[in-house]
Amino acid sequence: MSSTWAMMAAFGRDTYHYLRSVGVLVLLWWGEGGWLARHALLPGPLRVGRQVVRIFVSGEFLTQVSASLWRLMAGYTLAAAVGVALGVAMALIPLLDRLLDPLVQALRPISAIAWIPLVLFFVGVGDGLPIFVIFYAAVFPFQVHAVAAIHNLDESYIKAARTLGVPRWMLLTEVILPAITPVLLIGARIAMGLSWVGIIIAELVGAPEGVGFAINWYRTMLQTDRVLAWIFIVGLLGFCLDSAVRLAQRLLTPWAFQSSQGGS
Amino acid sequence: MMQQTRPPQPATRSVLRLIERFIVPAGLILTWFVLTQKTSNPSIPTPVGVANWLWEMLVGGDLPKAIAVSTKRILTGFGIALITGCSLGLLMGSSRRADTWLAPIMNTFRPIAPYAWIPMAILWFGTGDAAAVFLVAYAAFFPILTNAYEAVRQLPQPLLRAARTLGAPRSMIFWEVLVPGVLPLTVYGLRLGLGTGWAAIVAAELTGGAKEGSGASGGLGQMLYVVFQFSLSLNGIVAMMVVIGVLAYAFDASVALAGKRLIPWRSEKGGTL
Repeated sequence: MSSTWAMMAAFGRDTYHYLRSVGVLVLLWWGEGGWLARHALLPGPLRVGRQVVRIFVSGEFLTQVSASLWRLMAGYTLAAAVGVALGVAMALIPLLDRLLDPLVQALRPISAIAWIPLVLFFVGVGDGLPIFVIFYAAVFPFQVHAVAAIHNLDESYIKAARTLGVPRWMLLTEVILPAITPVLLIGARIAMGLSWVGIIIAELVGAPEGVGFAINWYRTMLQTDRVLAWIFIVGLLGFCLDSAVRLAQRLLTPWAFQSSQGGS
Repeated sequence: MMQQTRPPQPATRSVLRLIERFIVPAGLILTWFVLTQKTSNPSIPTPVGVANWLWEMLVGGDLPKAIAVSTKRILTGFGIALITGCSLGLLMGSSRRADTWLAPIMNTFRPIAPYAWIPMAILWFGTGDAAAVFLVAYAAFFPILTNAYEAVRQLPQPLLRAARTLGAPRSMIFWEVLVPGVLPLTVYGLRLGLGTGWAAIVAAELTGGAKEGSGASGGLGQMLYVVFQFSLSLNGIVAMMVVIGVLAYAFDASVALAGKRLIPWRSEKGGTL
């Protein structure tokens, strides 16, 4: 009972701190906007707020966001499957690691953004480019964390399982995969952040709809208030996606999840 | 899981290791070479074409100029992020008051992908240096801030208490306990920040700098865009990707090396991620 009260009190205090800081920021923005009075460069909070409401009400939110989220899920799932499979295989088979690691190390410094012109040439404007960029951005965190997780695995688990006569494939599904899940989910969180960054730039350059497209479209229309409204929505969605991965961490690996004590 | 120590290897084994290291990349390049041998289509990139393009741009001076422009922007933006990110991170990590006031604002801006600001950056700063510097600084700021903040919070309190109990003056606690304590994580944050900054410069120049005119004045990203948009030479695009990859690697390696120099007691552990 007392812990529930303590939690509610902590939540209330955090909310108060949040509203206090952001309130001051919005007030500054409001005052500055009235003083500068150049709405094309920095529209005030009221105008941007009105545009956010309009984006939700008109259904524009649903069409653009669903286009982006579909691509995000496609690229991210593909990256998770390939990255984890590759990482596990490379960690378990030393020869494979020695053969493929130079290739991975050569590709990693080339950011997903540098691939955009080449991929745009081959697949054109559409779903292909964002999905590729998300995949490329997300696959390395999954692979790197899978390799690191297996290398840091407590060897006694495997010895114990072997002693108890566990068959090889069961060793993978029952011992190794559950043991590396906490580290894999750290990689999943990093990958989600990079995917969200990647989809914005990919859609900004080469997609006929989506969140990144919307931001750039309203810039060319010089509707700065709508650009800022979409930037706000990008932040909101980025926060929701990160929270979703954290929720998965809490549900799948409660023993390894430590809730951060607020702060940054 | 893996055996950590191996017996000393005879020469044949080390030659084998060298072959293993290069066989896959070399095989891929060879396959690419063979596959593109027969085609005379100029829009298909070939290894020879990429090498030729690189050589021409190097000798012609376009590539060194673009590299210089981009490097200047990155170092400026990264420098801004380093100063603001480290000082705010250290401040928020050490003062509860600063943390409760600033953390909500940081947490509001952190999930906004840096590239979402590209349109605003163009509106505010135009298509030149300032917009690119702004994006690099924004992209590099958050990894640096987070790691500096975490570094202070993870500092072992007994160390600080011991120093205080033994009567160390404040400046001594700062230079002898605090700075060495936060250095490893902070340098790791700088590495992450430089990496995101590199990605950001390409994005900024690819989308923003393209209106600035000729070849190399807009940096590497713009050169990539110009090659894509106006000459459609895939050789050039692939060559630019190689250049970007090599430079990003060199920057990362130099920060890692600087980190090893600054933190010799951590160097044997090495950064695995």
